[in-house]
Amino acid sequence: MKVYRLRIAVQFVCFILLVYGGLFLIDLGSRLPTFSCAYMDDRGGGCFFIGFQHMMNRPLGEFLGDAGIRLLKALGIFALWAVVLNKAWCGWVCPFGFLQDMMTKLRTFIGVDVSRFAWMTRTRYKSVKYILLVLMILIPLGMANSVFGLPTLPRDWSVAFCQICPARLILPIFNGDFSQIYVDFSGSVRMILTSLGVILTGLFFTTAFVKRRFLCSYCPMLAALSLFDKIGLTSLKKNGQRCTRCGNCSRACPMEIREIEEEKTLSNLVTQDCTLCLRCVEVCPEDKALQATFCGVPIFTATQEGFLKRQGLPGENKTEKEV
Amino acid sequence: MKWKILALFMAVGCLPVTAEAREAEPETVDIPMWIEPMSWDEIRAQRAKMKAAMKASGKQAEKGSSRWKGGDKASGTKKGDGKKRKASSYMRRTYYIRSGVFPMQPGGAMAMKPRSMDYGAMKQPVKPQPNAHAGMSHGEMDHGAMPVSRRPESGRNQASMNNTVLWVTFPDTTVGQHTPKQRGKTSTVSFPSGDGGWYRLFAYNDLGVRDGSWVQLMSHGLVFSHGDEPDERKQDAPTGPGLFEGRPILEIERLCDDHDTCYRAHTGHTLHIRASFKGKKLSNTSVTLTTEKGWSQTKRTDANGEAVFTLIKEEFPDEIDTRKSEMYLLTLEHVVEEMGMLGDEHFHNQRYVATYPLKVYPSRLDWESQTVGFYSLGGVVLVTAGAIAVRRRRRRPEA
Repeated sequence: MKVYRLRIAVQFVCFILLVYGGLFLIDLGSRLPTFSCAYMDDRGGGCFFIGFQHMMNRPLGEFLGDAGIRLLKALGIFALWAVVLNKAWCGWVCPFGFLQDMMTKLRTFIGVDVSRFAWMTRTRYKSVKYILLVLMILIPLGMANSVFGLPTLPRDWSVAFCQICPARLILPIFNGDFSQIYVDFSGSVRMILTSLGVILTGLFFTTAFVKRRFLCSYCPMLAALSLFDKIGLTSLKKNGQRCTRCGNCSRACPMEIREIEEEKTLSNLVTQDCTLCLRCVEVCPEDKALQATFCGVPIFTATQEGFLKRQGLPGENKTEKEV
Repeated sequence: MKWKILALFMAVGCLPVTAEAREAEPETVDIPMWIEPMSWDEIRAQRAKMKAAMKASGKQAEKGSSRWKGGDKASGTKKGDGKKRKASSYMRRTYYIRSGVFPMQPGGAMAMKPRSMDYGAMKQPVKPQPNAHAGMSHGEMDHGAMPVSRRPESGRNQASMNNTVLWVTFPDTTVGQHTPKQRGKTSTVSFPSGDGGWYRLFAYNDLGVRDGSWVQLMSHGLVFSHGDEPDERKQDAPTGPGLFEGRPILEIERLCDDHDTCYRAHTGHTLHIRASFKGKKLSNTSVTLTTEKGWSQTKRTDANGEAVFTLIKEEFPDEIDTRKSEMYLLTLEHVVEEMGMLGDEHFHNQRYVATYPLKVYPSRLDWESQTVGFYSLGGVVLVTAGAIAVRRRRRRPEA
């Protein structure tokens, strides 16, 4: 089975479901841990972040009451989704991730070479997504609460992350709505945030020709989901004894995760950047060296035979017979 | 010569207005009542004032939201809805119920004085801009001007709010009745809005018999609250003052083309309404939309009881405040020529005056530029793509 093709098919179905689901009266709720942008009219579910930012915009005292209960309920739903599918939300469901994969396909079709960042560069910017996640909590709180008697942040900071998120500009286009591509001149904060959104959208188009899933490396949703890496039901396991460090896995990984090749002792390989696309398992030539599991039950295991089949090479048994 | 051209221009500009005004002469409407949302700043100020008063009186300040939970102490009784709604103060919506002549005077005071009285230091009238307001007529005065005709001789420019009730249809389709509370000169009412979805509001006030007419005032509203939308709950059709078979006697229903249309009105948007009386569509009835500055437009409903207005832009300021809204009021009067007795009083007819208040924000086009957005996006793509191409070319090993 070519997992890559299966993944593209699943991503396509999820894309249709999340972008056009509303047309078929499908509503998966507004707490999805994926970029099903709330600015899309015909969406089949909503991104968790927009509601989260609204919910955090409350005076601290109110979190002791109903606001806290509502927040906990929302976080609970988010956590439930995250625990079940873990990072597979990014690799298999996210419509924005799917678009990036399609851009990669286009790049391959045109014949443009892919680039890889230096390891140091990657490590240096690894924390960006966590900083964005923290800001997403602090900015709404700062709008409703005064810290040390300082004035609260103006309302222009409302849903600040959505203002810079390129998914807000790109995904509504699939509903025929280009109106999100704008610069807001009502205030300096809004102007800066919406301009950043436009710049990141531009980067989405160009960086797709440089690197696979460039924006995912800085995505706060990936950071939020990585909080559930250890307890997620969907997992990626490695048997270090069987690994020969051929490096196929890290080369095939769209997120360029090096640990997957280097790690010998750690059994759970869902690292903070992993999107559980299972590309590493697909290209691993060693029997049971890598294994994807759900609730501990293997769902996809690396095999030598499978590897050869997928590469279109004759398997050992077949070769012997032919000889 | 210049004046002649100007006069010609004005004459041409006024022609359609005059024609329409003659065709659909507005009905006499006095003492309309409308509901107006209290702003967050006002709510916070009120809450702070309450806390300060509690502290000053030596009482233990009620912590957090406990005072507001479950019951409906702030807004009086609530019946017709068996569900106990838990909501902290921020999950409540508070509305003023106002009565008087619309539009209000500058500074928010109600226009209580008769037209003949001296308004003192009134601001200079804003000159109407004929080209920008096609089809709109303007009152004789600005700011304090009353484009809606009224009867100052009656001496009753503000209705008593004592009998007012507010019906709220919650997102789960249940209906609750709330009684406004008199706070100083204003009347306020609040209701829990913890559930996400649309809330339909209907305020009703029976003024009794006045000048031989049984006058009943009502006002409608539609508000959206963010949050999880509850499932629909079955409930018997509510009965009570102002309702006929579970629906408002005289109803102005706002028709939403999509969510955004009704979520927040901007100048340039259209206001699509349907009028009905006792469940039947009200055709060929005058409906007047009046803006805060006094512009008004009257239309007649079509055979389906529907009318469409364009929300005009009143101000052209240099600096746009996206949060600054202006109140527009839609007014509809329906008279039923039916005599009868109300208690001991005899009436010749029944007058129903319904309003639909609307907060209108500046058009997004005033502060958003899609052109700049598209050009910036194209620029970013070109610059980064060029930079990547140059970098790659430099790094390419020479053959």
